[in-house]
Amino acid sequence: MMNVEHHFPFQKKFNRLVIGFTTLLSVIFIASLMLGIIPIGLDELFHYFSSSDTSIHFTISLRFQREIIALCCGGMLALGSAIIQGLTRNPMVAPDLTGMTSVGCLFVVVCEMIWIKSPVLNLFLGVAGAFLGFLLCFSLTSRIRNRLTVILTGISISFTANAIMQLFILHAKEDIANYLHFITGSLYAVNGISVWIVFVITLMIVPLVFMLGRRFSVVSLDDQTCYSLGVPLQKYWITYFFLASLLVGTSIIGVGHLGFLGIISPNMARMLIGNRPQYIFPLSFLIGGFTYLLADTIGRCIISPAEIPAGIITNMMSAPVFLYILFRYYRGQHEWN
Amino acid sequence: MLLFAIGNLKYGVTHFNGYDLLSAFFHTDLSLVSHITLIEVRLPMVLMAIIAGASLAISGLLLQRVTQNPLACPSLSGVEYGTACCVILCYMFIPHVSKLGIMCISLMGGLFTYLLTQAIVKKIGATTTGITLIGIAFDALYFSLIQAILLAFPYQAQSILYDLNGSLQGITFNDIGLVALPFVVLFIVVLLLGKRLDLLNLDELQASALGVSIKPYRLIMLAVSIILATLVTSLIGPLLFFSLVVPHLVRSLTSSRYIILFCAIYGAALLLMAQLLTYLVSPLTPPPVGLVMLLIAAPMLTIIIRRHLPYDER
Repeated sequence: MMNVEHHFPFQKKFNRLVIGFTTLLSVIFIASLMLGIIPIGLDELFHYFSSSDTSIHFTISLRFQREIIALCCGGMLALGSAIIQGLTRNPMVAPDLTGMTSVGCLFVVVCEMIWIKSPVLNLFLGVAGAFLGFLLCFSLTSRIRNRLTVILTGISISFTANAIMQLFILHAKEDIANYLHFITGSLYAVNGISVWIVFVITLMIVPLVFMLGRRFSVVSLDDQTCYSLGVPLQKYWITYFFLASLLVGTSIIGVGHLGFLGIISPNMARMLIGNRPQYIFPLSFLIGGFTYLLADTIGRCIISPAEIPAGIITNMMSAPVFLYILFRYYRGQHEWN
Repeated sequence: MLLFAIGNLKYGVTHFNGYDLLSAFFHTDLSLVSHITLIEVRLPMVLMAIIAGASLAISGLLLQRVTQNPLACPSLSGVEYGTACCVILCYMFIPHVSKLGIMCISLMGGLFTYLLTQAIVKKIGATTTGITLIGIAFDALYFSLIQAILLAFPYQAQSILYDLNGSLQGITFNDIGLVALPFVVLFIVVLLLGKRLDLLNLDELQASALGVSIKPYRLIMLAVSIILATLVTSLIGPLLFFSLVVPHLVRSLTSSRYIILFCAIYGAALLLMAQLLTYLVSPLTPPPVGLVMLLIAAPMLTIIIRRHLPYDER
């Protein structure tokens, strides 16, 4: 008889964590449906389908769209970041710190400015931008062994891309507000089609990544071990890297450029459960989605009717966490084996 | 530098030819519109650009020499955004404060931020890249704080919003008067002390073996660097990466003997060039000069990283 406890000692802890985070997530989801400029009671929420009040219908559906996209995009960004961290075996790498998100945003904004606006094309451009940004960063630092130098290069790339984007936005003829969320990561201008795209892709890709998570564990070993085990490392790299770009690129069309969220979620998951990809992937998805949803709710409610973009709130929340992670990194306490 | 200065005076919403410039300076006549534009609007801007460029460049150079860190610069240790944050807080919560008061408070803010980051660096035991990352984290924190404040109080915010990216618009002679005296004093101090700049390459032990006391010198240089940076930032807003890049440019061009002077001149010239660029790109709505600077400087950061930190594993 096989003892599950013995073979998977962390399964139980993982289950508890997942249940805890899911509960938290659903609580904040419902709370955020209720809060806002028009407060909605719990009973109205439950009688959504039977009630005939159109204004409440409208409000709830708007908020619902917004929260779905916050959840999906925050989660996908964190998941993509977890994949990249595993691939590069570098706990300090994140989509926003390697120029992925900002190059993607740049592509999307430039295309919308000078050509056409279509959410599907935006998706492709976002993915391509994420791909190219990562390639650029890593080709510039291919000979550099230091893990933090990679991020510095990435940061300078993302500052460049941001500056170009801001120049473009300043010269926009009309509706600057539509593009501002690419800088600050706000959910203000979410529209129906992009919600659908993001949602469908989340449903397609995220379970796939979760399923592949167990195989991913082998990539976090070093190269030589992988080769001697007969793992086709090249194939793994290409597959996972493509998946990561897809995740990050999709999150771009929803939320734009988000700072620091990508780096803290996988690291927090790692602090909770150690470096085990099959557990880290779902956990970082949950943590990312939860953080972003919380930030969006706070930003929406704290000074309503005006709103603070969620990206700013996540920045404020996660910059200290980033310092803490850096602290652990220098103490050699990062759980990387 | 002179060339760029004249270019800056000439180009703008309305272009002036050389004759206009000469006549405005030698036979000033404040009833002519062109003369008013030149003297009251353009000239303070150019002077401010010179002062800001020079002092930020010197500040970066000193900081890099004192900390022996090729990536040190006021904007990458959170000082500039800390200052900007203080300025905005002042505007918000002390409505009738004078510019001088704001400058003093923001000076405190800049110094405080620097000490805070240094304390964190000490605590963590970070190396070059780590220090820079901590600075960037502080920058992001302050930046989001500023944005949140601006969004929370939108009515007061309109006038300050433009300052955020580092812009030279709307500088008057009053501002110049405020910043000029400390700038000149500090500049002379730095020039006088600058001959001993190479001493900073030594560590404590070597210095005491040579019989020089290096600690007060180091402290003075550090203080001067931070003060210069905060003074300028409190007036024109943060110019990211500017003070990082200029010393590296100058180092590849000149020997170390006159490096402070050269840094000042090149810094001023670079800032004037960027300002000129903003007007050439779009005369009516010039983008903030900080943005153009960022566009020039951020790619150079990549080059600097590649050159100076090849194998710096901790």
